[in-house]
Amino acid sequence: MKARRAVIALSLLAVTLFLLFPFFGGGISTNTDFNTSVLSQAVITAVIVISLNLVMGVTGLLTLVQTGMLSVGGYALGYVALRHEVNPLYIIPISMIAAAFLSWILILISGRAMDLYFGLITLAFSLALVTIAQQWTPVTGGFIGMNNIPTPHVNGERMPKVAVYAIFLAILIVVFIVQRNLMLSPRGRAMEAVRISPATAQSLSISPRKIRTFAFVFGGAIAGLGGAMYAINLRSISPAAGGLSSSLVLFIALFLGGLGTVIGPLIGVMLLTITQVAIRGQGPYQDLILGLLLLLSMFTIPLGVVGSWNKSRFAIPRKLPELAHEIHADGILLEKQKINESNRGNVVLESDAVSRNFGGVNAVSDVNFKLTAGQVHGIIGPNGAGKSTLVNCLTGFDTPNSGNVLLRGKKMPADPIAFATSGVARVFQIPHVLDNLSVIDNVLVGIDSRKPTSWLAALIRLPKFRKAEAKKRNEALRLLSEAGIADLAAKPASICSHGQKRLLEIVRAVATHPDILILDEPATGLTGTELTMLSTLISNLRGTGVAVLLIEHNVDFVFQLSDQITVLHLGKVLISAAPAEVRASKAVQDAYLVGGR
Amino acid sequence: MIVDVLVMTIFLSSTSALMALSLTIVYNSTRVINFSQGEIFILGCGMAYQIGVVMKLNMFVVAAVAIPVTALAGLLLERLIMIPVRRSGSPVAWIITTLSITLISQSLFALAFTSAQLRPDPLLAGGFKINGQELPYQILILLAVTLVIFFAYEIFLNKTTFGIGVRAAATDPETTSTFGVPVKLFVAGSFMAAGLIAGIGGWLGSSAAFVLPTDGLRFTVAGFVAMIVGGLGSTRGALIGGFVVGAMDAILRNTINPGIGELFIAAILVIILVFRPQGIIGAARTRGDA
Amino acid sequence: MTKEAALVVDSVDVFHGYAQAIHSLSLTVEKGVFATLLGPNGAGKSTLLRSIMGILPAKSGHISFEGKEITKRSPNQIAAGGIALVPEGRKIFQDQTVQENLLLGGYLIRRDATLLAETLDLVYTLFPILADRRQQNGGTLSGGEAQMLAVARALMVRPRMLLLDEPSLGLAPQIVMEIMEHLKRLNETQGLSILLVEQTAQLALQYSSHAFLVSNGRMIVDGKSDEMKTHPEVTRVYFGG
Repeated sequence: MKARRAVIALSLLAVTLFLLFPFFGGGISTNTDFNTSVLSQAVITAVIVISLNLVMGVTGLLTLVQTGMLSVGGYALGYVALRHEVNPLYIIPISMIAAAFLSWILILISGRAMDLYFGLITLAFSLALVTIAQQWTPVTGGFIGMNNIPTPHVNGERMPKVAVYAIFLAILIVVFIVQRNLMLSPRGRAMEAVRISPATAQSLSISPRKIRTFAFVFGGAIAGLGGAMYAINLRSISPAAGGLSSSLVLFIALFLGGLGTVIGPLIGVMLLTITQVAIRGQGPYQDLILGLLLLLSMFTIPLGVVGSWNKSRFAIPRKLPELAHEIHADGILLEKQKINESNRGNVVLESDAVSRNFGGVNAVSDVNFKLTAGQVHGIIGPNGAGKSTLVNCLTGFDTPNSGNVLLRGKKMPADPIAFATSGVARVFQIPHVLDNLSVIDNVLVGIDSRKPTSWLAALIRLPKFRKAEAKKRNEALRLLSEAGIADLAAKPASICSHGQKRLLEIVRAVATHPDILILDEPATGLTGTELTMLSTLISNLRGTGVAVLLIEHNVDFVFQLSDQITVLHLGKVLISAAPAEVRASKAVQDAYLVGGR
Repeated sequence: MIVDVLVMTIFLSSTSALMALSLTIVYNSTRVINFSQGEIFILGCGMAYQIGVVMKLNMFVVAAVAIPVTALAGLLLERLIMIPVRRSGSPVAWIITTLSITLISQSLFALAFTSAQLRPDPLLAGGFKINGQELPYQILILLAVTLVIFFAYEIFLNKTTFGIGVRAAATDPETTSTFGVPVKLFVAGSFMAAGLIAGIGGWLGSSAAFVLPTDGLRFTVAGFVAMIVGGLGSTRGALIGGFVVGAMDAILRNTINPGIGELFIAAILVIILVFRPQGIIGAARTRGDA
Repeated sequence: MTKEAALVVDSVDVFHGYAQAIHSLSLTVEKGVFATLLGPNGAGKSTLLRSIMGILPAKSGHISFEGKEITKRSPNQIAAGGIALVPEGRKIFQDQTVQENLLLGGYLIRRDATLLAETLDLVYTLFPILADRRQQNGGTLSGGEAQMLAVARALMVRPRMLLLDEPSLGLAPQIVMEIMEHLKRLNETQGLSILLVEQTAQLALQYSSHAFLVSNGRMIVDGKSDEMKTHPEVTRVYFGG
């Protein structure tokens, strides 16, 4: 554990020493001014790379417009500074607002476009911004751009370069801390969830649209900030700043450092700057060497320095707090029991004559189905019987062509988030764990869904916020130990076995304190002991009054656990009865063995 | 004036259409938009210039060298782009690989082609006289070759079993491979074909206009715009997109002012992507796909 | 009939990511035999077919066809070796015509125009409904027609062994029966070896001569189809107990 701290401390020290050169003289070059301008540029790049990291690395939005946002920030600053006698430093907020506003417009009009299409829209936007900068001469200065932007001044005296650099450095430190705090907060976990699987996010009450908008606008503001710094530093801004080729530097730094990591952007910018300085003066070979190094690093460390390090055997997991008190078996579950006792025996979720067809084929037709609190209800049926479609309708992931889905007697819209916020937790057929997060963070996303915190509080990490986070961690650890996987808590979820992922996902669902738990083939790929663990977990949940819907192929498992079993065949309910009755049914035997109707 | 506009229209349309086609071929087999595709355009034009103008060898030598070299360059790009993409598993790794190849190529070309402007000799000098102005034969050759390449590719895709395999591999590589189709070879083959098409575009196109060694990305972007306007993934869309965009650009920049064409195109691009992401032809499936 | 082995699967392990789907499974299909692979959902039947076809290579163990090892081969090489797959869910190319779908199946014989025409004739004779739909897009076919197209397309490979993955899925029993009749005829007249994956045991046992019962990725019983009809393990595997 100390080792992890040491590695982080060493990296931060390296970055710090590197950034402090201008104050010492010497260093890279004997020319202090040269150091200052190279490092000012590095600091500005780092700010923008952090914004790119939040948007693309953490939230997974492919964006090619970050340099465009830089230009917007730069032009906004230049426009005001050249027309009003104001210290340019005071104009920075305007740059941030301008870029954030434009980002908001962009994400608003791009609607539901995703992945590559979103990337293409941002690319188109970025081309448009460059053209506007070139053509709207009265405002932007055309191809030449804006020059002679005033230097920041104090009491009418121009600030020396080193002083401006110190301010930039302070800004970078703040931006870095903001990024770190955000990534370690519930909001950051939600952003990761949206990147890895929007469906999982929705099932945990996270709205991908809101999170994406937040990330893009927030990232836009930071890029705008970087643009303002850029304009102050160079005292000019021109259309070239927003071009695709200037994006290259950002992508290089981010990929070199490690996409989606906290410290990656800083490491990447540092390595890039050192390389640039080392090969300076090589004339036309400069870009060649840079390009070759980048390509070489894509072949050798495709996840960047930090990303590949974390995946390597040198990786050192984050230290976890000790459990505050003894683990009682069923601790969390017992707390839950009090809430649900009154509910027991009521129908909580039902489908009323639900039909769904795809291109003329009835996947589900006229299905009436009732789920009761405090019971395990199994659904079985041959392949293609319509089980998945029914479950999708019952959780808002699919819209029935006719019929209604009722939650506690209330008609529900086809919106997964509406179901999730009303206490329906779903575990998917293929484990949807959040791979890049640690096991405990996965559970925390579940807990977050019922304990919302303000992201502003997270940015400052007030004591109250830290306390709440510690409490959540404690609860997550207790849940993990109930499932027998507490020893994995600090490990990245990606290294878990298939069975462990399954259990983790169920723990995460339980962490949302659901009234209704929907398990889609949870037993697939589990070993004997894991199966026992799972069946104990399900029994315990039933004991606390939770309604469990269990779709499963492992018949031994279903028949042993369920209070009631519904058999689907060719989209219709064949029988819905107690396990013994189902097993004896001739119709069921025929459905499986003969394939008849 | 009219002849100028016509020459400009044919040049912009043909080169954009050829670039769009080569981007489309790569996109269909890999879902990668190859930002370095324009570098092969420059390679084709630079080689033709170096061999034909500097070394003063005839155009058969140019063809004998440029055609295989641009195809091989396409193959090299496939290796350089796809290996890191497959290894990193990151859905955005292609951006960095294609952009870094662009950077490398630009500096290599700056070193190799010392002339600021690459202008290979036309295949056929001279031209028609219209109202005292000259319409060069070369621009008509460019147009003809562009159309021939498109028709040949369409016939190849739709009339041959091989083409059926190519189309199938683009939609469902796994199922396609079970019929004996070597899907991975097809990916390499598509990069080669794309390289060849871009290379020919560079060779024939740049005899009609001045091209700088660092202009690669500009041609990639032109092809990209044409591809989006026509419809991502559609061959016919690439042709129509190229001609619509090229003609509008040429006409606007000659009638109003040079900048308005680009502004208009940027606006069209945003509008199409937002309101009609399937493009004019509409071959691409829905938004969010890919 | 000669009892020569066509397909030999020898203690094969297959994984889906971390999850082991098939545990040291072995089976042999003799030349010219119509065999069926039975088992409930999630037993690993489809996985095994995909593994034989080279789509999901086995992690350990050996698979050979007509004496030649095919374990590490790619799907296109295995197809060239004489095995064809009718995939689960049919996987018809929706935007291509029926004829084009069939020509894709005939990719390997594309250079031999006579053989290609002959094979096309053969499948159109077998499935006349496809001849009527020749110029229609694959996406416009009904479920039964699409399934016939999937079988016909696989036959265009001119395979000596045909793998079928749940062709009955989502089809009415009558259509399933019709398809089974076709397969039976191909097996008897052309000597085509068949490995049919089915969930509905009764039907598959009626048409096949040999059957394998798998559950949880392991072989449970291996025997003559007639004997399997009454085998107690079959009901046990499907309904527990």
